Amino acid sequence: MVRLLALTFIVCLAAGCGGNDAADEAGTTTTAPAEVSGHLAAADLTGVKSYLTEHTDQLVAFTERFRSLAQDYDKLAASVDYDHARLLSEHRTEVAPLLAKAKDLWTEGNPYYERMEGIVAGTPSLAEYDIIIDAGSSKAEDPESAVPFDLDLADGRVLEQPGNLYNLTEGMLWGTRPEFTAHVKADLDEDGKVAFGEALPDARVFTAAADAFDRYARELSTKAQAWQPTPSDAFTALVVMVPTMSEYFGQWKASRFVRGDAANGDSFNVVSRLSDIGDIIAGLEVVFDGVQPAIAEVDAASASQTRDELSDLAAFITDLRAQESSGRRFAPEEAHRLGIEAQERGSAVAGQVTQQAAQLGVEIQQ
Amino acid sequence: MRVPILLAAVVTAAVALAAAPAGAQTPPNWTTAVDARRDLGLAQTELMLGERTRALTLVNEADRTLAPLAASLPPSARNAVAAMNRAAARGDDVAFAAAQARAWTEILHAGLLGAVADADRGDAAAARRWLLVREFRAPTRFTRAGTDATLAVAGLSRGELTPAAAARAVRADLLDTYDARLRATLQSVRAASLRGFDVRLVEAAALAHGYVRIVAGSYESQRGVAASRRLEAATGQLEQAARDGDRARVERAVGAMDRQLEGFRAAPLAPAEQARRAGQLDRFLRLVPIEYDRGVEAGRVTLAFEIQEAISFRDAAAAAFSDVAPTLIQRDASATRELTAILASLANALDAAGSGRAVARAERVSAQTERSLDLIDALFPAAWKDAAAGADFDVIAASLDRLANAARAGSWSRAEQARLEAYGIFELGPEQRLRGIAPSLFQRIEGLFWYGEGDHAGLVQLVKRKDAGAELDATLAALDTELVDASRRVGTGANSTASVVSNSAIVVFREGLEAVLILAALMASMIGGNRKYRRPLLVGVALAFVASAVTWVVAQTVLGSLAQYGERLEAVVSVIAIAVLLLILNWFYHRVYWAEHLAGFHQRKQRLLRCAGVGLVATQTLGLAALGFSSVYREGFETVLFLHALTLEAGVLAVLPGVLLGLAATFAVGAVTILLERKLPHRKMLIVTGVLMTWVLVILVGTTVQTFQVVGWLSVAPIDGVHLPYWAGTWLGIYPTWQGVLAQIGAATFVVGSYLAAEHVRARRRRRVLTSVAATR
Repeated sequence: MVRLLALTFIVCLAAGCGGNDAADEAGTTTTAPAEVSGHLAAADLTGVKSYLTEHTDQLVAFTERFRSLAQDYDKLAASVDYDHARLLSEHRTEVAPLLAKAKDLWTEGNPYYERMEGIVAGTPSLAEYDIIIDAGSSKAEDPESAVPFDLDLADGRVLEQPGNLYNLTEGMLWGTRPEFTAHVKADLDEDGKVAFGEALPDARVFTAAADAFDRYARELSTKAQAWQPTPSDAFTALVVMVPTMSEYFGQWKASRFVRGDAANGDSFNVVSRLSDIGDIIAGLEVVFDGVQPAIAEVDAASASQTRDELSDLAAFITDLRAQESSGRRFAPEEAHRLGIEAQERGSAVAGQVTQQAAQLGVEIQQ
Repeated sequence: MRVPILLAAVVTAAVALAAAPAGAQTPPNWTTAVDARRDLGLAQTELMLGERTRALTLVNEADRTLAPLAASLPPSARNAVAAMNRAAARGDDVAFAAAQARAWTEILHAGLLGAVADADRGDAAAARRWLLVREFRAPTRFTRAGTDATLAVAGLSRGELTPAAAARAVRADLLDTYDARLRATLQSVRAASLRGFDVRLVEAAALAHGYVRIVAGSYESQRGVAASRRLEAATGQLEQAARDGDRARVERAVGAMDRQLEGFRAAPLAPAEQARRAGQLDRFLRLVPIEYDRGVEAGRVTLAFEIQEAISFRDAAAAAFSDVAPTLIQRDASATRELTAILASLANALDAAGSGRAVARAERVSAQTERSLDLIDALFPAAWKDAAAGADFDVIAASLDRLANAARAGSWSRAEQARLEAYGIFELGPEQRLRGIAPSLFQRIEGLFWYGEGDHAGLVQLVKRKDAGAELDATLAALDTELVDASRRVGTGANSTASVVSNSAIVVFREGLEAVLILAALMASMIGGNRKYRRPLLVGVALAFVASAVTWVVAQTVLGSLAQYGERLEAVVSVIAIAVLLLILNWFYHRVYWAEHLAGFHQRKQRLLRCAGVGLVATQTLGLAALGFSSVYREGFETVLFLHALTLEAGVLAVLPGVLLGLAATFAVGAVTILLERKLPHRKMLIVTGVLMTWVLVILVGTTVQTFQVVGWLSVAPIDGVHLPYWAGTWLGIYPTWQGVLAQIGAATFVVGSYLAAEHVRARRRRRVLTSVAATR
């Protein structure tokens, strides 16, 4: 989606579409004067940088622990020559708690990225890591939006563009991507049935994925440390990321949180997408706070309006998430209409930010 | 129930603002309408979720905020409020959604009228407040939120725009937005109907009806009262069918609306803007088969990024097409629909190649594009074909974006390719016009593309250094600023006739100087027995003038397609000119040697001499004619393109005096050269002629190397740390690249060496003769 939006802006910049339409009938074109750029001095993006690096540190700490668990699992599997049936039968008492711990850790670690996703995905120089960690599909699913890496397994197998790392690890731990799990009946709690979430990951895939996760998290952290956010980065992140509500709600609608057992998606079945959306908006609020003083210098009412609407959007999501957490199950049409409402609000905020960028003479990047 | 009071307040605020005369009252704070929208949206959500109490609490809260604004209501808004009241009372979220959509679109409509009215009376502050209550185009692959209304009001507040111009811009932006929202909403109607989402279906149908009301005035003015009534009727049928949950009728009503909206644009493009979009369609489309052909080979994709670029160009062409389609469909509906189908087919083929599903042959993509261009040629009015210079800037911007992307990705060959494409388009289009009206501006742009300008390094230097950092960003930003300035200047004409006259005179003089120096120097030396050589030289010159005149005529009709070959043709003709000049110089310096050599040869082989002599004369005649032709035509071609572009910009009457002045200066230089040379002793005259021709040769070699680099036939190796003024390239052909400088040194060395060799041979022969004479004595 991010890449699609990036393309949108390339094409728009090239084609001059949309944004120049007012001049069509009026035969007039106006641009922001050079002096307005002086107002940008009021922007303070140090908070954005520290917010990002704080979260990349958290992500690295998570992936390090996650990798360590994967290695423990691999050692157990190696002790039985990677015979996963034996692994379960001979080491159940070790494997079951280890996998439970891995799942808990995964669930804890998921928000670390989501809270900074708005910044990472919305910043062209960092956006590749969003594809790798959270957004890229597998080659089989869609070659065009597939992740740019392959997984080399210790036994010589190569998994070509297997999908983003959250999806990959979620899929093998909860069994929503059976191709990465061992083909054994993984009744981990020995209750006589294999419930949703009971799965035995293929040890070599688990290890390779956890290694890659840790490696890319560290790379992202290094890039984030070196990143010097500019007003253009901030406005671009807001314009690109805020109006992606309908896509996120679409993923939520297709997940187990709305469709229950009828869900056919292999992602977002463990942590509700509503939670992710809330985290993403929270990160974008930090970004807006950085540029709001500059906007206020040219249009105080607009700055205030956008801040309020962004907060309203966050509150709207938080409220829905609270209802869901308290046991409410939304019907597909309700989810659809809520998604439209969120999308309308997101589009309005993005539209306002676009106006503000134009008034300040800030370029929205490709 | 307090809902009616709330909506009364909201709509009243809107209507009161829209209708308020100048200075009649202070407009209420924007938060009223915006907060109302938020609270009504939340109330609707709560109603949908069965939380009637929470919904009513929200409504009451908003009501308190808006109470001070309550006043009289127009009938349509009053009806919507009454409907909301009834729906909320019985917990009917379907009816509530429909009524809320109706009320909200009433507010938007009032907002449009209010913003336009306030802008029109010069009240930027009030207009700005209204712009806070608006919607935006939903972001898609091809659209982003328009900023023209915002910038127009900002311009109004700074006194840079007249109230009328600002009001037009605001109206156009908002109408365009709601036109786009209408079409997107019709898609939502279809989607909701297919999914069986009844509430959403009713809501979307009501929204569509509301948007139709907003654009109805524009529709009626373009299509007439009867057509407007039919559209209103179809929209009413859609709403009714949605309420009845009758999917078949919904589909029929949406289909009817699609047909009635075909070719309609609520904010019609101004003629100049239409021409610009038309130019974009043409230029982006031409790039599609080029990129695709680079990316496929033998039925498979070899360079995926080329396919992506082909897709980007097709999409950009399609976006431009959608903007001119309303006009095209009026001209020829059948051809326009065929063009629509081809663009869709191209999209499918490119997407299939991009995703690896199927790879169409490059010939097929090329054939489809050719067919599209034929259709465009037939469909476009003549004015569009001539006045689409603005599109060049869009294509340049797209190419520079590709350069930046490629640089960030570390793909420097792609970056250089994009740079050359961008420069090529600039050089063959906008530059020709800018040279006449803003020469310093085009010089700065050239500098940024090549070897630097002011504090900024040139793009070619940065690409060669593989510098994707802040310096590249700074140069691209500077280039972007200059190009924006250039795009404003092109099409708006020259600042003054005097500048057009002087600039066109300088261009003609500069282009003609090299040719006249060559010709004058040679003519001066053609005296006595050599007078006969003047004829072939003059014949060549005459032919070049005829060819230039033919080029002028051709340029009138096919300037666009001619221009794309301009640099290549210049490169080829320049090589011919250099080759002939070298030949002539060689002949010039070896004349004595040849004469002596031929004399000896005659004595030994008389029969062969006759044949060889005839051949030599013929070669010399042909060579002189070729020199006369190539030295004039290589400049004539470029001058013709420039003058043609300048006449479009400034008119023939402004350009003609400049041309005559430039020609007069050129001929004066030629006459002075001939006169001065003739006053010199014969030997000195020959030396001066040789020096002049060598000088011109060195310039010619420098400019030809640069031309080869421009068309991508020769790589570029900038000389780091060397920054030359613009005139060094323009007048001396010296550009800071190793290829250019070494070629010039090589040419100079060759000629001087040739002269020294000839002198050496002659001296040796003289010594031999003297030795022979002494021995005889």
